Amino acid sequence: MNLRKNLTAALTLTLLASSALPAMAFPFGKKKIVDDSSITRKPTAAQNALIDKAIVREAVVIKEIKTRVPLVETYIQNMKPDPVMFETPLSDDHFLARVDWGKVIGQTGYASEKRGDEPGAKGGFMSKFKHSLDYVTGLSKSLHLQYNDSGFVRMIVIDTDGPNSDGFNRQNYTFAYVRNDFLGTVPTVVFDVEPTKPKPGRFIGRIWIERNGGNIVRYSGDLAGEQADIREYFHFESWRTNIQEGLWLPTSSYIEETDPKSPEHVLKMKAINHIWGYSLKIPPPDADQTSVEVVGADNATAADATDVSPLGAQREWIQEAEDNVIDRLYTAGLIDAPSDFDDILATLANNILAYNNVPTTRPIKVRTLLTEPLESLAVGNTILLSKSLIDTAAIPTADGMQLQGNLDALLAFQVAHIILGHRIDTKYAFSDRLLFPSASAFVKLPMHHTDADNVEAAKKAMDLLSVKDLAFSQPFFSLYLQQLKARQSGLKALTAPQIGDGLLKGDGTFWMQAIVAKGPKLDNKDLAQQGAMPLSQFLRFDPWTDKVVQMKTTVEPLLSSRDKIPFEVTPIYLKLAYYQPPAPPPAAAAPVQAAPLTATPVAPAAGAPADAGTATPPPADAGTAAPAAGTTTAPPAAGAAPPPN
Amino acid sequence: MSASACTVFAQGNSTISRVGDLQLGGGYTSANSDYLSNRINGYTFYGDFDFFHNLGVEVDFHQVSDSPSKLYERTYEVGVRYVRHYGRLGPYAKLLVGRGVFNYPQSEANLAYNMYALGGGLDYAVLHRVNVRADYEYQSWSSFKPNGLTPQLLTIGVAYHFPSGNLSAR
Repeated sequence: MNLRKNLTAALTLTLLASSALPAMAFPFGKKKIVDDSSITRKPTAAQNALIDKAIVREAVVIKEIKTRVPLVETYIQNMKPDPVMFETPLSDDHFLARVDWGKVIGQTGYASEKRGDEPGAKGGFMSKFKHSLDYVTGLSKSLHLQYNDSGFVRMIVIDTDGPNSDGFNRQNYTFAYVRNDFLGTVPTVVFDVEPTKPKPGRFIGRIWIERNGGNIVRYSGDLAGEQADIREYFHFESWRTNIQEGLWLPTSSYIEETDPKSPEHVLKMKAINHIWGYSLKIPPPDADQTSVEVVGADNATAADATDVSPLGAQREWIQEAEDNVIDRLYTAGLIDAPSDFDDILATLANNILAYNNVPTTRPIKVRTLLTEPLESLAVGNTILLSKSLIDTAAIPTADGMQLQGNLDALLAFQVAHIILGHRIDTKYAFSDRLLFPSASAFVKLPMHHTDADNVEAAKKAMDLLSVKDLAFSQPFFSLYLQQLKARQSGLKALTAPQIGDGLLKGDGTFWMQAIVAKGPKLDNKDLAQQGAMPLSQFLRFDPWTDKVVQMKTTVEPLLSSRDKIPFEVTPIYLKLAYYQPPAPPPAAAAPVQAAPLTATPVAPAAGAPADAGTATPPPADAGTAAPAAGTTTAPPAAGAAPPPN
Repeated sequence: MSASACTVFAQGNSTISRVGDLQLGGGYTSANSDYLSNRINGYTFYGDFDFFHNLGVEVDFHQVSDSPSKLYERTYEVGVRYVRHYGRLGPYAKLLVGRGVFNYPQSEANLAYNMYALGGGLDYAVLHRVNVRADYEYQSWSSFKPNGLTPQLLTIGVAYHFPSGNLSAR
């Protein structure tokens, strides 16, 4: 019995000592965190007042966004070392969710279901066997570390604890003044924040509070309570923008973790969160369905007609389906509100028709799909290009030709689908077909074309791009595709289309593979050559209105091949500004005219000086490579006039 | 691509996670049976599932026997273990309860008893997926007549450690 008592006591003591010992007491443990409180200062009375204001404002912001259903998109890249580019994506992941703040702050994923023709989509014995195998695989996978989409969504607020998700307060946090700072034109005061008691999910880091309203506009740090190899939090930085008067709402987050085992400090992963759709609503009337009038076109015949011809009725029916789908995608928050940039793209698309002498009764419209995966689609006569497709293809050059060339090539593929009559399923003309939850949009609205259609369209696109005025685009798009090919294995999520057509076939080659041979060989060491750009480098969107606008950035010269970061996630740095209400509309709005569409190609950035610091296409230059006046190109580009009876 | 639906967005939502850390192994055991004067030997199978960084459950099976006398002690145990991680080293302590089967010499009787066990040891990761272990366990078969039985076991084992793997989407 003595032995038993001794052993029990010894074990108990070992257990207690083991848990009580500080990590540093053991030679293999983690280092103790050094107290650096001397670097920061205790807040003054005025600074304390600002902190109190920020706490109140944070609660107001959370209360405000709980009433909304914004979309949160997370795109993750796991990185690996690369001898030339320093690091390249090893693999990637993509989440898209609509956050329902009104209920229990929950979220619903915009899942893409398997297409019916994919292996394993049907039942049968093999399917059951596969399901059993999937179960075992799933069990094994659950022992692996996996990304939690909700963990990324959670980064859009500082603290979600408490009955009202208002855990960010003085009871839970201590504050230390760091400095005053300007973020763009917004004056801020910077504080370091630490939780008073360690609790999983509490924020540790730095916050920027704007001085005028007391809103937190930026925060950067990590969450407490991680359990290594079981449950981990990653460092993140979140930004908010002043999207309405006095209202700063989350816009984006950047997440990054360095690989602790890498002597070169290569990243383990990096990711980005985009948040938008705070004010999802019914499309504004006459916004995207405005009939485009052509200067000088005579609509009298159409106006006078009291009946519709069979072909006219057919076209109206297709138009009905197109409008329904576009409206549904817009209310689901997946495409942008009509913008000036979309008009520029539409002009480019219509110019492809014009340069190829293709007549059309309806001009092509273009909108931007707000999601990351590289894809495009045609819904009737409306082409959708994903934002990342545009971002990565928008290579700033002094003459702007590479940007225009890439956009021409991207548009030509869907223009070819339109020309070839690969039209939308007219079942969507019945509006009841579109009564489904927004989160089902990808499943309910498959807009991708068949492989046969894509092969045909790619061939046609090559023809379209072969005309003299568009041939310049081929070498540029060749480089773009070569760059994508070089990174394709690590970008499976980015290259997987969700609703439309991707760039890649199932076998890993491109639909427009023929264009690859038309350009120079990709050389990542050649600083004069750039095949593709990083994500989020050309367009930004207003998270309130969902309008895309071109960013006005300075040109950063490449110093080494490591500065090329094609198709990669990059950190966020926003130049913040206070909300400016839009200018009131003119008293008497004139009828919409499509004067610029007189077959004049837009020459993006043509002649733009390098020091302008932007890849923004300037207004169309009538003198640049326009089709010859008096040819048959003008009518198809203008195109709104119905065919004469 | 995300396939989540209605995930509760709680305070503790982590960026990455997994259900736990699993290792399954076996080993050679030498025991003081507290019945015979000589040491008896046998084998052990064990499994650990740590669902927190420091805390998990352990399942043990021990069988030690004496061939000449046909005596054996067999135990089935389950309980908690507390582990610390210092690089490759993982010292731990455990508290288990279970059922012990005692086969009397010459198989005169074969009876089962409730038992509990205290123990501790050290896991060492020799490879990414392989751990070796040295384990000590003190068992108490309190209802063993007449005064209970307190075997002590020393085990050397090797286990397959299911790795945390590369990061992937849920």
